Amino acid sequence: MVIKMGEIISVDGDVISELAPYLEEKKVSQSLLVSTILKDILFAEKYAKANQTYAIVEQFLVDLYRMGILEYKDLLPVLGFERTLDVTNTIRTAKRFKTWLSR
Amino acid sequence: MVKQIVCDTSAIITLFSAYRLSTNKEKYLEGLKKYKLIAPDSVHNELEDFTRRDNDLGLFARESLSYKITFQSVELEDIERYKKILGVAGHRGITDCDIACLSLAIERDIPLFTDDFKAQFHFSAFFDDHDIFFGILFVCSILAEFMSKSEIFGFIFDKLVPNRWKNISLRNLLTIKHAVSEYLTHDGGGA
Repeated sequence: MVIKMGEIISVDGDVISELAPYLEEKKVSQSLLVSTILKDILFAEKYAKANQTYAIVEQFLVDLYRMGILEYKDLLPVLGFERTLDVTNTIRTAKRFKTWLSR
Repeated sequence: MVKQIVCDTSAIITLFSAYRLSTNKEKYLEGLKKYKLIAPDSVHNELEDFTRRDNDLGLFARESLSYKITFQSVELEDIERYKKILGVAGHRGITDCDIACLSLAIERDIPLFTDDFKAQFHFSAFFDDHDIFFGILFVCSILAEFMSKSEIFGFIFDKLVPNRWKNISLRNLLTIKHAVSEYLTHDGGGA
């Protein structure tokens, strides 16, 4: 996949109109969603050469969880019980660390 | 006020790998000095063992021992008590040294930092009310004093991870990615 610098990314209007109310409800902007997908692909491309497909899938699911779009139970069928526990604990730990820092 | 924290061997190695690789060592140390690092004697022994290695790990361990860390003894009874609670008599890769760190942190009611992800997951499951964090997040918070978010992300994945964890597993790489992304995110958005 090649995205040229400065290229205007056009997204199907029907998709946007269907997705917009849902994302609004979750307080997630369309730009954030697109940017997250691109960043996840880039990360897998740069750092996770061993299994890029899995890296993209796990990152995307966890990012959707962090945004509040997916819940714990939604991660289970793909990541399995142990990994779901690990990743949700990781997110909770990072959130808790930020709270501790601000104390 | 100087915050007290307990660090295990893995967190100390991460902290001083980042120091070694940092392009602004003075500011990194400035940030680090806001904390008092405490560790059990067994961590000192592990670091000393590492110093004998002729590799990056040895280098980072030597760096850490030249810094002021307060090493304290932990009673064997305390280690045995926590072992019983955790049910980890020598398996799951959790050592007496890891448990000594946990004991010290809980007894002093201060956070524990570790980059032994298995130990962090296991300890957190048993002591959910205690702060048990990743050392790499501590590094991010120090870097945040003088680097932008994108610079921190680049430093962690281009410099720190490949030098600190040679041949890192995909599982651990993604764990670090999720933690760092969440740390760098303001509430309500993605990294």
